Amino acid sequence: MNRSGSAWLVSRIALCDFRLTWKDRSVIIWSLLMPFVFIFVFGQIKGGGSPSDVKATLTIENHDDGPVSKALLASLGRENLALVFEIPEGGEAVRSLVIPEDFSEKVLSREKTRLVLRKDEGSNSEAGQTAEVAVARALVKTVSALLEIEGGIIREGNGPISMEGDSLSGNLWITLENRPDGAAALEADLDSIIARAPVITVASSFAGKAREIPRGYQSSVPGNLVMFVLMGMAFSGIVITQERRAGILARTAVSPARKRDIVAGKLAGRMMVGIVQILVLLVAGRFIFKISLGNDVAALVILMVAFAFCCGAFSLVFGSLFGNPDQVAGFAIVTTLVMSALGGCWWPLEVVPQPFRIVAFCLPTGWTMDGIHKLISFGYGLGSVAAHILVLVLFGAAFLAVASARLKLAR
Amino acid sequence: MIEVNGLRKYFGNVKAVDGLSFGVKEGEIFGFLGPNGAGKTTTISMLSGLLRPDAGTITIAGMEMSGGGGKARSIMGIVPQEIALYEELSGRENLHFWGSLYGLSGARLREETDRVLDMVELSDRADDPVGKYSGGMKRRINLCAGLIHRPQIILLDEPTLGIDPQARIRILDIVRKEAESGTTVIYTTHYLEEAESLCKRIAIIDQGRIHAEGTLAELVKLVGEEDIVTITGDFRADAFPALPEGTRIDRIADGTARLVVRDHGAVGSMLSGFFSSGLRVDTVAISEPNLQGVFLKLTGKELRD
Repeated sequence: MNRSGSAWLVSRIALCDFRLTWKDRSVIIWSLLMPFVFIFVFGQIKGGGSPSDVKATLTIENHDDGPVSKALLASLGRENLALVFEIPEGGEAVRSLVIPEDFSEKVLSREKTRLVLRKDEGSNSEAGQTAEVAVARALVKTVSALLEIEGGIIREGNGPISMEGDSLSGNLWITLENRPDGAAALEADLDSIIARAPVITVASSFAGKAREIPRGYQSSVPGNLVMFVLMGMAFSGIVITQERRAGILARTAVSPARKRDIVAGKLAGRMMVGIVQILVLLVAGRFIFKISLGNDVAALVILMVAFAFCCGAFSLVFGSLFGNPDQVAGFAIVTTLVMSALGGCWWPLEVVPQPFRIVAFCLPTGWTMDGIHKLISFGYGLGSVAAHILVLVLFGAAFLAVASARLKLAR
Repeated sequence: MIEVNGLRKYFGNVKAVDGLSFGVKEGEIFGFLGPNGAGKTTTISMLSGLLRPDAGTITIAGMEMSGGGGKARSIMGIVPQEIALYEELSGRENLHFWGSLYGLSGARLREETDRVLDMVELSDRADDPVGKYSGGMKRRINLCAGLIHRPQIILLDEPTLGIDPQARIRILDIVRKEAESGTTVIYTTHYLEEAESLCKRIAIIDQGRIHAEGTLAELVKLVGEEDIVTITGDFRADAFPALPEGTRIDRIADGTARLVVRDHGAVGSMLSGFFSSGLRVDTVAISEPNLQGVFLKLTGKELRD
């Protein structure tokens, strides 16, 4: 590299700024540690991990000792439920399944019976639905097993299990009255059928791209990433005002470095800091908070570099518009919080009314959040975020133009 | 080495620099002596390329500064009035950064850093953060940052501001040695004794204009061969004794008189006049012509620290 050329000077200024940034312990706390706290807290509030990790709790109040209720419970045990067999002390269960005393007897004799699924009013509705579906699936499985056993008896004749009814009309049912060993045999048969791997499984997936609203860490990691990178960058505008006051910018300006080299160096230094922050949070998001990074990591990297460019230029605007570090701090916090809230960092843009979605797309945070979720939550690729990348670069270029025009190197 | 002609700079309606012209030869220490607000820093800022003049030309080593300095800036070393250093970085890290802006790298950068640190006797504290240095130590590193790339021209803007006498002497010694090795120095100060002891030629500047320029001897000649005699005692301004020939009153008040005396011998006969009139004399101070007198004569005010 030519040691008197612009590239050399820009790299020296950028490296100096990069090194200076990490000398400040508060930067490490606010850029790298606090985001983890926020990601964890907001991730938990928004539902923790991915939906498949959620197990609905179901308390079983079983008053029947028959083989059908046992088969039903075995079947429920294979569902994604947390079964509880003891009623909590001093209160009702959040949701419970009541199996009546004569449940097995009535099912076997084909009489009408009723299972009761109780749900507390304040309980999680999504978990309630999960439990309801699981009970229905377990019932279908149990009844199917019974039918299979009945079919076997009709084809192969009575073994330990007896049937009675009208064989001509086909109105037959299992009876345990004449064979004392029948109940045990029926229980064993039901167990073996329920334990069998299903012959047919249904794999479901979204047709096209998923549009499920991001939740849990899948929402809190990108939201906090965008907010904290933006905040760190906005606050780094303070450093520019301090350097101006100390005469450091003026001293740099009388070295062989021109104003354009200084602006480019400051921008590059900030981008380097932002990229480190983004990398740390994305890697932590993937391996600690177990979020998906989507199918096109290269597109995510390009989008994040564009975001870092935009934020770096945004920081220079703060440093060039204000002469006082306190002014920068005040505007930085307000601007960051407003842009984060309106841009979808705190809640998904999918749940806000249309006017707010329009506002979000007037801000770099809105474009970034939408782009990130397209890649990591909805499985899109580079083509679908090309516009986002372009818009972020344009935002950055506009910020850079303002900063270059307004940046004063001397007091 | 440096040629300046008709340099002007206005800040709104304020004439910060008003038609400055001067030249500095290679290896010379040229001093700008003037009070705060005289236009010294503005002049240095234009010489270094930080400020664009409203009028006039600056030529550095044959290169015009009109286009921002370009190559000329790489042969200059600037030591600003402020401590323009990163407090979070060590002295060595600061010098590495400033040296690298002038194209130094690798072993050469390390060697030059060690050289200037030795020069200011700060090698043992080089790896401490600048924020932990005393004011004098910061000033020394501030000086090093302007010298690390061995500039042909050094512009020093009040480099000893607010430091103790010992540190000041050390900095002046370094500047002197740099000039002895052929470096051209422009040095601004409002300390008379610094200008007198350091500068080969001095420009007296006030309100943006150079009032006089020359060697110390040339400037002193401007106030003539006269001494200043200050007498304090018990006398009234309207009942002052007759003065011998060649003596005149510069300023007088009850109890204090400031007289301009062409001949030392006149002081004795003047005091005899006091005693014969029954007036009490408490102190008599005789000062020979110096920069203070020159400054007073040219600007009508005293230059104070």
